[in-house]
Amino acid sequence: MVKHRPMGFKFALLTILCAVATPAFAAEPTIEELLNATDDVNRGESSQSTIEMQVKTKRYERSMTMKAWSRGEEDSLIRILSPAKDAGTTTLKVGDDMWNYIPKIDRTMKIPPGMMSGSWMGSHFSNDDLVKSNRLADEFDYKKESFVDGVYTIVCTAKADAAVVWGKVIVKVRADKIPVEVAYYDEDGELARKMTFSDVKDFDGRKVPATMLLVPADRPDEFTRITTTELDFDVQFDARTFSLQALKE
Amino acid sequence: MFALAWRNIWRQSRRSMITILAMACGAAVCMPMMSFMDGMFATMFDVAVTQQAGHVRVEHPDYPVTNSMFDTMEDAQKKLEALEALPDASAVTWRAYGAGLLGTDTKSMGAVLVGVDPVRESRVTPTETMLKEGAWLTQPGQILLGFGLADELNASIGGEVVIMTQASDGSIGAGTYTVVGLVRSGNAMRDNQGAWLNLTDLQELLFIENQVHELVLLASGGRDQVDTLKADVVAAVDESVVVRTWYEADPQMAEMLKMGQQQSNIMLVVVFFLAGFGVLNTMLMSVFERTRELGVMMALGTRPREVIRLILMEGFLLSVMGVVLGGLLGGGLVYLICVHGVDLGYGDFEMSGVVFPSRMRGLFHINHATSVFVSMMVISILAALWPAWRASKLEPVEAMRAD
Repeated sequence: MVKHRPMGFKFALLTILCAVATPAFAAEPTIEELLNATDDVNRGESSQSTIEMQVKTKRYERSMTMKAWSRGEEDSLIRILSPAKDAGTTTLKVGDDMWNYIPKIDRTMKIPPGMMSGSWMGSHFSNDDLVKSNRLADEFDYKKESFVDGVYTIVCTAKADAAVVWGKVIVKVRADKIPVEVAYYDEDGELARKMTFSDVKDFDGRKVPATMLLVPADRPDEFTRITTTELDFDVQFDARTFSLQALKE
Repeated sequence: MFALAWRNIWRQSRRSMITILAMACGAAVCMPMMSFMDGMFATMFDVAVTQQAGHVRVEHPDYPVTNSMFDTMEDAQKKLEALEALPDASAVTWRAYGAGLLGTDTKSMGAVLVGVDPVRESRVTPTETMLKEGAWLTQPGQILLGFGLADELNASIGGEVVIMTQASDGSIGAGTYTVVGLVRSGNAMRDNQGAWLNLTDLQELLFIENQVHELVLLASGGRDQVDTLKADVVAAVDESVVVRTWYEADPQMAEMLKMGQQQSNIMLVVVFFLAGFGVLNTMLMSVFERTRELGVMMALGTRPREVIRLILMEGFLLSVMGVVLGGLLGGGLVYLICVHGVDLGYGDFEMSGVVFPSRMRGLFHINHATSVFVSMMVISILAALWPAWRASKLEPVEAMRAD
């Protein structure tokens, strides 16, 4: 069985890169709408952003700034701006494929399937997290558990035939469709990792949580934090923005 | 006495010949079989121990379980020097390991990266047998690829490959290397995924300068001296590392080698028993046939002890002839197996991770001959004991009346 992770980094990144254009006081949203808003917010949208990624593990601590472009959920390009040692290193994602460009050796390498579960840029996200595009509402049975202080808690249980890594995902999302927290549980029901969203800001006229924190449950001292500093929507891309040539620029 | 025994044997020349041939065939089968199996065990030992585990190995205590890039040894340089000073160690080397994405212009694949010290490594690993094509590492920037990996990547000697990996500080490590050789180590996993590069190159790539994952030693006394060597090593290093012998590091391989040895021993015992029963049968028959004659001999004053000696001598002569004939036949077969090898007809085949060439070669060891000879002769004499004892107990008067 091919396992992949629904709603990983991609979801998170997209949530940040492209916010939901939702009126604050719309009619009460359905659960499906909330879930789709959580992992499917930007379909058909284009964005350009500057983000900071901070990674802390037992072994190292590093901080990077990156510039990212994305078009829909299919295509994205992420380039490291700093530190100098990694500057220019670029990841291109087109559909389910992924390439890394390393300026030091001036080479582009496609990530083979066997290495998709490896860490992306030393963070707690895997390459798969960036690439896979499963949707909660499709792969999981979901149920509203509570609605307290304007926050919905939705329990998603993997469907029997779903080829997903997680057994259960608990999503906390505000009534205005801004996610608050997503907790991932493995097939044995153990908490595997938790992602929290905070620092809701206005970018280009939309409300977006600017900070996202991922903490692996078995290593509570470690984390990957992604902070959005700039974000623009409805950017025009030309045909070669998401091409192998663009990787090297 | 000798002449008498010799003559007695050839009185029933067909029966004696059959016994001799049976023993000869036994020996002729046993010797090549032992040679072949030892050849197989030697290949396994070479792949699992000589090339990888070493006789004795030193690691960070967590490394055997985690295989994590971060579990390196402290003061590796100092430890290496201390170990190289040990008189019981014939060779010492150090290695680092990593994993990364290895690619050519057209393709990329995950690879197991082995950082070796070219000079020290060549004292531990038989590099000529490990290399399928090309040359061993001589300077930085060079790399050897498992031939399966090279095939998969369409890489060839003289070409360039790129490695991309996660360095120990979380950054992306990358480098370009020139392929100088292809490796056929006999370990399926390594041949299909392994890449060998200079230790210093790998350390730089992974950002683990001056750190290694293992120190590997060979015992000057060979594999029988590993325990002595281990004791020396334990005394020479501090307690921040764990010291293990190859059989502690690879208990499965040790178990398999032991099992194989037992199997071949059981086979030998069976063959020897068959030979022994052949002699027993022959001697019993001849004693039975000669009851009257033996009775006459004893009536004429031959003492029972002399009768015993006569019969034993006959058994001994039979076994000597069997062994000599068997030795010639078996020796010839062993020679063929060692020099030309045996084509098993499967092509290269894999057994517990070790790839055997389709043409297996035997191993010559003088023990194969002596153990077969000595045990056959001992068995034959033992088998002749009972008939001899029976013959010595004959009552001359009774015996002479027998037909």
